[in-house]
Amino acid sequence: MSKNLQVSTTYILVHLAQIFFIYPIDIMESTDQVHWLPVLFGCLFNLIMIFIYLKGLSYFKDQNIIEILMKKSKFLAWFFLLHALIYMGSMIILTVRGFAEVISITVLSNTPIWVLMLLFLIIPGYITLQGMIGGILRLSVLISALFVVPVVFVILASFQNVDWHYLLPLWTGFSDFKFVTNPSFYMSLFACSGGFLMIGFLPSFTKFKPKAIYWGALALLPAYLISVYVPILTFGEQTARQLQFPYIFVVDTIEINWLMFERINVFLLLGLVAFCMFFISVSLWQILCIIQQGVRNINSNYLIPIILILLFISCLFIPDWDTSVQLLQWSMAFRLYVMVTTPVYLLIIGWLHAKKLKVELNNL
Amino acid sequence: MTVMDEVTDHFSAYPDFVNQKLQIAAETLTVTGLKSLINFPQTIYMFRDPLLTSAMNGLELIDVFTSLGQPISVDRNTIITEILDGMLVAVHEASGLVVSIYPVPQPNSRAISLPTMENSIGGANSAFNESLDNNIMMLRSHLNSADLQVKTYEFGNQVKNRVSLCFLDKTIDPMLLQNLKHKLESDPTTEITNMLELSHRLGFTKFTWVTHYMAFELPQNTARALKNGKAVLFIDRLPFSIVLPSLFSDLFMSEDDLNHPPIYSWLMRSLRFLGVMLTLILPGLYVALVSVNPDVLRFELAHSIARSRLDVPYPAVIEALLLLCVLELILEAIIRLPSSIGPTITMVGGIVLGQAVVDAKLVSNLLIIILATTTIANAAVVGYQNTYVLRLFKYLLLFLAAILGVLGIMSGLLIICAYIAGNRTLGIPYLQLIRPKGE
Repeated sequence: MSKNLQVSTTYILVHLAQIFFIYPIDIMESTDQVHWLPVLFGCLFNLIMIFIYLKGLSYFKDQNIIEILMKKSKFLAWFFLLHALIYMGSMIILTVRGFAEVISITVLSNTPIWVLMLLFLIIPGYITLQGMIGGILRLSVLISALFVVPVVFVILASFQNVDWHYLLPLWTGFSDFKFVTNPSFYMSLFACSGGFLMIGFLPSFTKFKPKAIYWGALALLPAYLISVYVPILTFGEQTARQLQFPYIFVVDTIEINWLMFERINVFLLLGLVAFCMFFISVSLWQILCIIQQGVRNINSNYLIPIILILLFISCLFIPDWDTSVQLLQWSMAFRLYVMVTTPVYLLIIGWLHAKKLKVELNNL
Repeated sequence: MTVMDEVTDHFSAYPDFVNQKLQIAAETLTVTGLKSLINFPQTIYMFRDPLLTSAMNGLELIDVFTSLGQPISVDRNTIITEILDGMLVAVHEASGLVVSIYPVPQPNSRAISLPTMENSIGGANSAFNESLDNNIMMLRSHLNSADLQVKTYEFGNQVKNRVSLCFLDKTIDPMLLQNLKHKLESDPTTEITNMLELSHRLGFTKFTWVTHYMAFELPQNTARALKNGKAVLFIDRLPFSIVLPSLFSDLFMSEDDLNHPPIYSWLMRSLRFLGVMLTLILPGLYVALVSVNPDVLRFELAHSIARSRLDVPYPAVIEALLLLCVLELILEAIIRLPSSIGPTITMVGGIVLGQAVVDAKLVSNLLIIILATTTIANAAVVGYQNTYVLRLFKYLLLFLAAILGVLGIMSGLLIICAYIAGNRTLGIPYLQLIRPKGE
């Protein structure tokens, strides 16, 4: 049974949660004008990495990344899986801490932050435990049907105060490419790093065409552009870059007369929080996969609570927002490294594997 | 003591046991059966007529006798079982031959009539009743297909009951069929007479919230389910068909929709979806907006709500719970009341209590509106089993909203979605549209 739709929506949702917060700031800091160029470059980089990753996976029929790596060299498998494990863990911790902070600022100022962090861990834990990957993939369709409507509505409404003149200049010359030397650009790549490894973990019963992933990645491009351009078009570049979360701030300024709600950014936030919990549950499932298939097959009913407790304790060690931003910066280099090396290594062993098969076939 | 004497002895305490001798020409025949299950005058007439005319047609009486039914072994237990199953057992005295004959039965269920739990607008209106054979007959007349397979199982040691499994051979998911057959055939000794015993046999956990099966009274719904590749079970003496597995779309889609223009049927389905969302969200949203996140509301609205709650002496969640409790009581009370008293309860509950509770400043006006909307919206889903789960899930959102405000509502929805997405019936995921497929 083909699961193209489910894989596409999962891919989109996993990324959507990350885009609207820090990403616009990183892009704005990487360049003063022509912001679409770094956005496009980020997407292109993502697409190339997906292409390499999928190509590497396609050499092995019906196997997930853990099975492939384990079959080759145990040592190298461990090397890469340990990286992936840290990658997922750090991503979950930072996302949980970040979102708890955002929710605490915007909606629940009286609730202690550890309660929110606990919530952000328990619900994804339940999602993973209840459905495993089959359930998670189906859930993606259900929550996109439920939450995409308010999110899209708010995104459309956010164009209320735009001044299209700020769009210009669209091109000034080759000096526009200076952003590649700016570390902020590489920071911005975290927005496409979220669900990237997930593709390789999907078990053999979830058959999907690579097209599904490419379409998903393409569907995200407008979201990247909107998150950067709407604040710029509303406030101008100089003002927008002063804000902590430019896009959320823009949404807060929207005024809709006929709606009974005053603050419609709550809808966007809640939608994004739902996507974020979904993202955490996907990452949690990947951690579960690595441990169960790579280390030892421990019952998920015990393993998930243990992982959650460890993650929760790590979250508690992050005292404030600045620390989490700093941690994000530090972890970015590592993330980029994992993002590049894993697909490339997979491609190489895939290519060698195919060559060996060919030689064997010729000898027969 | 002969076998027949033993049988007569076994049934001696039965007031409805009939043991009658018939003399036909020189031969003596004995017919036995239970008159509570068999219409004796007609059956005897039917039985005697071919025997009397046999000599005229030049046939041997014994040949005609054996062709009347199924010859069975002369064994005490076999004969007792046949008699209890409502068969007429006839014995040819001279040869000792025993034949079990399908008699004219006593009418043991109501005639085919209108459904009591379902309503059909523009569709067929005759509903299943208590007789299993009758139900299969109705299903066959709605689904005249060579593909339709019916397998009947007998369950129970002391109390025997029949369960029939129906499916379309070419459309059903093989995994579903295999799982179902495996579960049904695993233990024929425990009886299955009600839904709980069936659920237990099929291995559904006791803590399941979403229903695993749909019960349909109307044969066209059942026929549609079969065409979509589901399996159908009939339990003798239960006046509905049990459709397995129940899917997410069963909340919103009914066979009846197909009798309307497509636009309207889609609009009605969206309305049902809206009903589900309102039932789940509204009470929670009230509590969240009143007690945790009043800033989300427009100021004028927040102000008027706050004013209407001015005299209410407890938190919004208690207020909502109090009234919800009364509503649940009304819903529960009205089910078993005779229809002559029902309207009184509605009036007392709806008008008197509703008006009084607001006048006494125990709850706010807005809450009455919200809970009335919730109860109405709850009834919009298809299938009575599905209303239970909505009634329950709204409390989850209510409590979460009381703690975490709008974030709690979102979390509650996500938990419900996760539950639905992870739910499986006999290996078939619940969250699917129309055709059940295994993973």
